[in-house]
Order: sequence, then structure tokens, then C-alpha cells
Amino acid sequence: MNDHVRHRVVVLYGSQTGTAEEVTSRLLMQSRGSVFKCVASAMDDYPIQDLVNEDLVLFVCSTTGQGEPPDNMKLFWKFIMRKNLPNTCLSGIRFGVLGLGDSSYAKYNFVAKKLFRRIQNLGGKSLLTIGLADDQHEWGCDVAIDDWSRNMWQILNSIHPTKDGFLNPIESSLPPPRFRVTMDDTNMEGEDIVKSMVEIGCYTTGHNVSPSKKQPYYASVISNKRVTAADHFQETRLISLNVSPVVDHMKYDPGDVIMIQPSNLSQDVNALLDILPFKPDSLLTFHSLDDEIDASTNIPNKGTTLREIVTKYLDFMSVPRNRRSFFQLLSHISCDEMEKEKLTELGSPEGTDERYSYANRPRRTILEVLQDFHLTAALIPLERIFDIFPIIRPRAFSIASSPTRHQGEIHVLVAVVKYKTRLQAPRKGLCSSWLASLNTGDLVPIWLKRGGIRFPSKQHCILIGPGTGIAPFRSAAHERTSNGDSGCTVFFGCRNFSSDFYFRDEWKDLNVDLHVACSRDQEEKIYVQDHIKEEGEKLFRLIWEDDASVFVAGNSKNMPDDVKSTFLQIFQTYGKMTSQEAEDYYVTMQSKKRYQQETWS
Amino acid sequence: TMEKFIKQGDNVLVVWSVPPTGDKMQTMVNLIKTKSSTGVVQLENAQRLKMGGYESSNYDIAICGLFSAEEIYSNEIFAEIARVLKPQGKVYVKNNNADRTLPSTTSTLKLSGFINIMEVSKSYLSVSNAGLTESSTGDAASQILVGEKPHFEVGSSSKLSFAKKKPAQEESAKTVWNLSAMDMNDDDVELINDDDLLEEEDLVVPDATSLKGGCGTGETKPKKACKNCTCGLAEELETGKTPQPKAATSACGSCYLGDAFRCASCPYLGMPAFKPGEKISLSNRQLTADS
Repeated sequence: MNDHVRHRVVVLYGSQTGTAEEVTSRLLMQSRGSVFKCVASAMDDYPIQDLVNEDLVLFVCSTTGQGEPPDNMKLFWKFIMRKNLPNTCLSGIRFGVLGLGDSSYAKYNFVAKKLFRRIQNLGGKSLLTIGLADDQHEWGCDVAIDDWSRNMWQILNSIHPTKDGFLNPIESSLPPPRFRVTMDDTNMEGEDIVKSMVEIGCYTTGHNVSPSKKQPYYASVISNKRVTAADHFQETRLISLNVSPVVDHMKYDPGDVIMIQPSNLSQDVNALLDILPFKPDSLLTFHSLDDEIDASTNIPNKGTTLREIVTKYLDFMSVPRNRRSFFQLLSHISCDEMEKEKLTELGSPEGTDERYSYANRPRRTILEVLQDFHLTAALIPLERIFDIFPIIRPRAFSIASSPTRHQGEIHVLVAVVKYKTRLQAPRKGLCSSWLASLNTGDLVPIWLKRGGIRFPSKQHCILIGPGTGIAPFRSAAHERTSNGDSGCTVFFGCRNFSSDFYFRDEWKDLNVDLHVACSRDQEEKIYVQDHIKEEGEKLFRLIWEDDASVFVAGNSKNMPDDVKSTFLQIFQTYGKMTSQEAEDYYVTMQSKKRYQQETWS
Repeated sequence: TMEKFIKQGDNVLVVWSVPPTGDKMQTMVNLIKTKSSTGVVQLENAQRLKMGGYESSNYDIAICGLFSAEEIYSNEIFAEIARVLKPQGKVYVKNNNADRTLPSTTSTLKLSGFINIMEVSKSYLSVSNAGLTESSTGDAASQILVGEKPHFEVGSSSKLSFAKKKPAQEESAKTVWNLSAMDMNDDDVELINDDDLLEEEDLVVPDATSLKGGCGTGETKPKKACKNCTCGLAEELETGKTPQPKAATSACGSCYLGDAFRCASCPYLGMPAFKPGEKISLSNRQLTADS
């Protein structure tokens, strides 16, 4: 294909957990073989000086945290908001924005909305209205994503109509595959696989840089202990990883985050290999056919086997993400009349309700879908592997260890995700289940990320962390006690003193004023905010007179809001503020980094 | 004076804003020409320079602020100067800006993309040339600043050249962008308040009805019969009767298939497809008919 006649479309994404990145991949897939040559990049990886000379630019961005831009667009964000940028500098570009958000948050899709307005006021011309995808929609983000994509392609088609020899991105015909795959039947021995795995893109000592997503460090497990009572419904584990060989390149502070790249469990891998028609241990080579620029994944393109790809990269234990690429693709592959008919139905716009009921609501995994459609699964060509299966995303955990007290180690506190839907087999969290299965000596690919919270050493810290939220605060408490920093007041919440009171026996040796709310140990429920309210006068003095900072961490949508309300109440009661003054004071505290939050779902 | 920085062959641009008295301009041009007889010497008024039309990357040296104590230059003028300078070309500014309420000349130069901004040694201010700089008592204290245009050419060449020639104002706007982009890590650059970007309609939150899928009537979805229905549900649906909950041991022809093919009242819903010869036992939960 003569690339000179294809029109360049730049797709820039800001993605925190990988969703916006996947949406971008789908847009690229839709453009394969069309008159549009799409190139994609995380916003921060894009050479910003080139933006003024682009013609067609699409932005796909999530909103994260409390209305903030994702990590891989933070630099871009700071640049685009510079006051000195003249209001005509982007007058040469035509752009679209697709935002991914959740309307149960106050700052719903704020990043996308602000970006849209800013590009406009820098002179950019919008191709279409902003797309706002909402997790709160009954059918999730797909609805808005599909609508916006369709409109966007229609508009691009009107600017540059499809020509002979090119495909139309809107049509539901099968986009051409990305690869041609060759298979070498000589079986690789187990040891050879490990060796090649280690050679391909993993961090080794002797580098001057720190481990990263592209080059993770393979840390070995020192210990993996269950920390909740054996009869407690929730299994939580404290896992200790050995980083002493690379400790100089993996420096961290309390509040920092460790990224873990999980694999699939071997029983699940075997279940998938059972229904795919390939020899799992033959050597594969992927020859790229379309030069989609997708530098984010570091999947090896040779010297690997199907077993390795299925184990380490393919997220087949997740729920199918989008009807167009998943069910439609399978319907094209299928040759069995009954399966093909059903797949076509599930992939059609009219079948959305049924698809939702079949797959999304019960959280049916791709593996389970393929088991239902096993005749179709047996026909999946290797070259479609990466079109059908999404890639496993890394997960973030607040580091629970202290650099000084636990030298050479990094600890993570992991609540194993397991729950029931109407499907007989319970649903499992991929990363937490895999971590739970690890034994001493097993290897974990990791890298570090700066956390959203930072603890000032000379000020008193008020730490609120129910459940696994306590992890960064255990790190801070150990570190501060070791260094003789200012003290802290800790509010922890759990269900029972004897079941899930994490680090129960450590606190007495630490310089903290601890308050524990065990919600189910008495008739009336007691939560962290109840204890915070009780300590109101003391806390107000610490904040108002001693310049103390407040930190909130944990796994709950409502908890941060409940804690905030409690503090606003405290400001009004002991600070004699009006409700507006209390709110203003809270905002001021936030801007001065004296009220920080790190919450996760 | 500043003519000490000029070498043979240099193209020099002299920018002024307030016209000097007498023949000072001519004297300056002659002085420069003694240093660079083969180069071009161009005098231009700052406002006219801003209107554009000058070729990019043409001058080795630009000199500003020579003639009067009141010349204060803006971001846009310096950006234009940057554009017409060659890469690594230098601008010399006699800094007459004593007004502390205005951004300093240094920061204006920086914002316009110049690097290595420094104060030139005061020894270059020669008393014998005092006449050219209209020195008065305040003059010995005024600085000469020098800034350098970064050495790689700005702007990428990826754009097709079919584009029509953009007006000069847009070109200089792009230049400010490009030069600003060279300093991505500069945390001192002032940002707008991004909350101000949002308009009324941006603050609207979707209402509950717009979040419903399908027709949003909230009714329970109609039960579907499977394709090879042998249990009678398909007939019931066809005749419009409300389907009765079935006893657990219905013999629908599709039970052995996966959930995708089972009817809504199938007791095996939630279980994987049967393997050939597999014995299936139903738990108590499954034996209770769905209500």
C-alpha cells in the first residue's frame, strides 16, 4: 500500500489503567486498510513541538483520581495549559476528543472537557462534539465510544472519501490482520524458554536507569503469608519481594506505588490451550504487516511460544470489552451455523441487551465465552490472537514496607478478589489470585511509580486508612519512627479485631496514636469517621495550630466523601466556621498538599 | 559597545521602537559595517517587524534598545526576532526596563524561546561611545542582555507542503509554541487556571434516565427460548402466554450447550457446556426455580 496517499491521523491518549489505551488500539484497528494512516502515542511520549504542524488529531483521555489527568499525559497537560501559548498556535489542526469517565464522580470527565476547550481556544477546529463515555451507563463506556467512533469516521470520510483499493473504517467487514505468523515445530525446552524470557526486555543490574514497564525487574518472592484469620471470608496476604540486588535503582518513599505485571494461573492457561487448535510449545514469529505504531506493548515478536503468550500477555480471564471487535470478529471466523448466528446476534447493535445479559452482567470471561463457542474457538487463526484477546494490564499497589526498616524488600498488602455472580464458578481477580498462588522463589515483574501522596517529615500527619488503605500508612509509620520524624495519628477500620486487623502487633512499637474501628465487634457499627468525629477537637488543634496534614487511602467509593464531611463538620464545630468557610478551608488545604488522597477501586 | 560582538560576514538586524534624534542611526550602521563589511545591516522598527514578512533564519545578530531609554520589548517582538535569527544567532538587548511591575526583560526573552540569557560584561560599555547610547546618569547601571536562539531548527518537516502560506502572525504563534516546547521541564512557566475553561454545559451531570440501556422501561426482559426448544417455552412465547416457571428437570434440547444457547428457564444456566459423557448434578440452588 502506498503510504503517501494515506492521510495521517494522530491519536494521542492519556490512560491510567489501560482503558483509554485499548480504545485507541481499537480505533487503529478500525483504520487498518483505510485511507487513514493512524499513528498512536501516549500524550507524554509524543514530541509536542510537532503538534502545531499536524492536520488531524484525536485525543482519547480518561479522568482519574479526583478529576486529574492520567500519569502518561501529565507533562502534556502542564504544557498545554501554559499561559504564554498564543491563541492561534493550533489553528492548523482539526481535532476530536473522546473522554472516558464516571458520572458518579463530581468532576465527571473533567480532563476531556477541559482539553477540548483548551485546544479550541488555542485555535484548533473541532471535527465533532466531544465524546463523553460514562461507566455509569447501564452498558458502560462502550455506548458513547461506539457512537463517537462512528460519527468521527463518518466525518473523516466526508473529508477524505474512501477510494478504490481502500477499506471504509465504518463498515463491519473484517479489518485485515496485523501480523503474519510462522510456527516452528521444534519444541522449546522449559529452560530455554525461561532464558529467552529473561533476555527479552527485562531489567538487569548494570543499567543506569530504573526498572520500567518496558524493562521490569523480576523480583523473587521472599514470603507470601495470609494475614486475615483462616475463617474470615476475605483472604488478604502480605507478600514480601526481594529487591536487594537492585536496591539502588529502586529507591522509594512511603506513599510510593509498586506496579506489578501479573500472569495467568496455569490451570486457566491449560483450559484455554485445550480449546485453541495449536501446539502450545512451538516457536512463534510474528511478522508485522501493518506498521501501526503501538510501542506501548513489549510483547516479544519472536523466540516465544503460544504457551508463554497465553500465560504472560493475553487477558482471556477478563470480560469481553467491546462488541464490535470481539463478537463480530468471532462471527467472521465462525463456520458453525448455530454459533455463527448467535455470535452475529451478540455483536449487532440490536443484540446489545442480550450481550450485556450474557457477558457483562455475570462477568463472563473470554475463556468461558470461547468454551460456549468451542467450534469457533477451534478456528481462531494465530494472526488474530492480539485482535481477539486484550493484553494483561499491570496493577498498582501502595507499598507497605519502609525503606529503612525493611531494607532490600518491598511489601504489598493484597486483598484477594473473589465473588459470585449467577455463574457457578466464582469470579476471581487476575492479579490478586496470581499473587496469592506464588511460592518463595517465584518471580514477579515489577517497577516503581511515584505515589500521589507525600508525607512531610516535620509535620504531624493524620492518616486515615481503613482496610488495605492502611498499607502506605504502615510504611510511613515505620519510616517516621526510624527517622525520628514527627508523629502521626492513625485511624484504621476493619471488621473484627481478631479477623482483619492488619499489622495488629506492630503498632505498639511505632510512634503513632492509633484508633481502630472494628465495625462488627459490637452491635452498632463503628467506622473510621466515627472515631474521627470523637477526636474532633484534638484534630482541629493539630490542623489549625500545628500545621498537620491529612491523608486518606483505601478502597471505597464513599469513604473519602464520608471522611471529608466529617472534617468539614469538625471545622465548623471547633473552628467556628460557616459551611462555606469550611469548604473553602478544605480546598485551601488541598492546594497546599495538606489534604491528600490515594483511593482505588 | 555592542558592535564588539559583530564578526565579518554577519547579517545584523537593528530593532528600534522610538526613532533616535539626529544621525545616530546612520552612525550606528556605519559602525556595524566597519565590523562586517560583507554582511547585511538592516534597521527596522519593532512594530513593523512584528507585522512579519521577514525571511526566517537570516540574521546572525539582532540588536535592540540601543537608541532610547524607553524601549521595552514584548514577547511577540522577541519571538519574531527569534524567527529571523539563524540557529545559534544572538540577540543583544539594552535593558532599559526598570519598571518592576512589568515582567523582566530576562523572563520575556526566556518566554520567547531564547536560551543562555546572560548579562554582558559592563566593561563593554565604553565611555567614549557614550554619545551613541544617549547616556545620562542612569545609563551606567543599565544592562546589556544577550540571548541565544537554540541551535536546532524549530518545527518539524512532517507537514505536506501543499498547505497555503500561513499569515506571518500564525507563523510567529507557532514559533512561540515550538520554542516553549524546548523547555518541557520548566516548572516556573505560569499556567492558566484550567477550571476557568469549563462552561455551563460542561458542568451538567447526565440524568438517570439517559443512563439506561435499551428502551429503559425498567421492565424485566422477556425470557428467550433456545433454538431447539423442546420444553414448550417457545410455543408459550409465540402464543403470548406468560411463561410459567418450570420444574427443575425440563428436557430442553439445548441444555448441554453453553449459556449462550440455553433458554432463560434452563436449570443449567451458569454452568459450562457439558462434556460428552459428563454426569451433571444440580445443587440445591439450581433446583429452585427462578422466580
